[in-house]
Amino acid sequence: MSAATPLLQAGELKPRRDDGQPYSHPLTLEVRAGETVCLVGPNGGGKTAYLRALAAVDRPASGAIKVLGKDALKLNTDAWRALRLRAAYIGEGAPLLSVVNGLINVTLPAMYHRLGTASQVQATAQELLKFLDYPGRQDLLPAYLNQHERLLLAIARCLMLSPELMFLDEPFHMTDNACREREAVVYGKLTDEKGLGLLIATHNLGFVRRHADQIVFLHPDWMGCFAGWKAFNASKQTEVRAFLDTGA
Amino acid sequence: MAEAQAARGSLIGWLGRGLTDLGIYIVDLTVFVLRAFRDWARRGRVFNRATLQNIYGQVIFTGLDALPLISFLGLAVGLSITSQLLKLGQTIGGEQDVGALLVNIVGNELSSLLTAIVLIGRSGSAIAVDLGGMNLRGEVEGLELLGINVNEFFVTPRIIGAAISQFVLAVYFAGVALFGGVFIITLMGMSGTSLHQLKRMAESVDPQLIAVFAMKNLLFGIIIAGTACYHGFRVRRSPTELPQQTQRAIVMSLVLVFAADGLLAVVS
Repeated sequence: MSAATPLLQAGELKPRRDDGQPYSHPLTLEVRAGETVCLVGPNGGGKTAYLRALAAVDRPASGAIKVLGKDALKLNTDAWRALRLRAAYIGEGAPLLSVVNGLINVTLPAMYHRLGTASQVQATAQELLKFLDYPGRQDLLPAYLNQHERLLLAIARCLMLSPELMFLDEPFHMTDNACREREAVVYGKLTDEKGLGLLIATHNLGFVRRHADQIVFLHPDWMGCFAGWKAFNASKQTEVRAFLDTGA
Repeated sequence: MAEAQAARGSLIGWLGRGLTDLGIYIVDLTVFVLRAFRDWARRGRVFNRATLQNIYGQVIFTGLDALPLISFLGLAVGLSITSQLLKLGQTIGGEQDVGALLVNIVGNELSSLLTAIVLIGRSGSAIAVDLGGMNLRGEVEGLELLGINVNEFFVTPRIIGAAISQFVLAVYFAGVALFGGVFIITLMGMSGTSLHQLKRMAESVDPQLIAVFAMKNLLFGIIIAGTACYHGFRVRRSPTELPQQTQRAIVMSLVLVFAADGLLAVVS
């Protein structure tokens, strides 16, 4: 895709709640290569639901969604699976396969999709772990790793498939400030060096302030899109002010 | 009178609902297993490197790891049932038929059923807990979102592994139970030579028996792993669903294995 073409286009998108009812606020959004879009707001605003709908993981109640030029609502199962290689999604807690060690977790999707010989896949995995500054052991099961290490392995696992878009649901969950800083550096490298479009649902306003190119504010009573922190912070909207003034 | 009629009506209704539910369950389970095999066969090379590891893992866990228990049970059956039948044959003088009786009861029926019970207890429950736990922790969805077909990755390897293991273990069980029984009775000096008894048994084996035995055990393996995977994937959000689904997997596996055994006995 050319740099000018948006990687993701959502029009009047309304995801579904757990009870099947649609969210009230339609979201229109475009994401380009190298951009970081943050979904923020208090709990109950629907960050995860909107992120999943944007990633074409869940079918929305209404609206249109184009991911990497493809109408996500018209994909059959095979096309949806093929799309998953180019639009990675990491859920909250970055779940890895618990029965295999860290390195196998990273190489597994590439082995499954036959993206190279075993030695080629291993070499790519090592390069990616180096790129991500992975500090942990690769031979341990995920249960023996900390959340920061698990997250980096989950990111490496996605990068093995060379995605163009990456969706992360609360990636700063259960990590300390030092790890959050290191993770922020990683996201910077993903957008700047690999040119990925990143969509992150997060409560980490420090990261949002420094890295977000676009901010989608989701509140049960209101929703708005902002072109970066400056515009977001300058908003006079009651819900935004209440959210920012309470320090999220 | 009216009360008795109402009670009879509700009993019939309960039975009818139970049978309907069981019918729907069997159709649902069959579709689940067939879809898993369809997804597995659809990819050009059916033995994918990633899924092949799962088949090996399942054979090792279900088959190799169960060998000590199967050996013990086989010897126990050999000691109790085989030797008893041999003694009975001597007493009532029907030694000609004892060989056929042993091959049919111990070699065909008991070995298949007892192996299946061991596999349901060991592997069926483990598969249901394993997949249910992975589903709860979001690991299954994590793989789906990497474009991995979870039917192909999780279900088919487990079914193939369990079917192979069930068949091989049942053969092993039958061997241990029959040879063990003959050996024990010979040691006790209660019968003729071991060679004589083994010859009688070998004469009782025919190709149809072997075919039914193979088909039955492969089917048992498919039922055990298929049911376990089916219930494992029914665990959604709450940890309380895990023991519930595991228990259902075990009960339904037992019901289906015994029902299939009965049906095959009638048909063959």
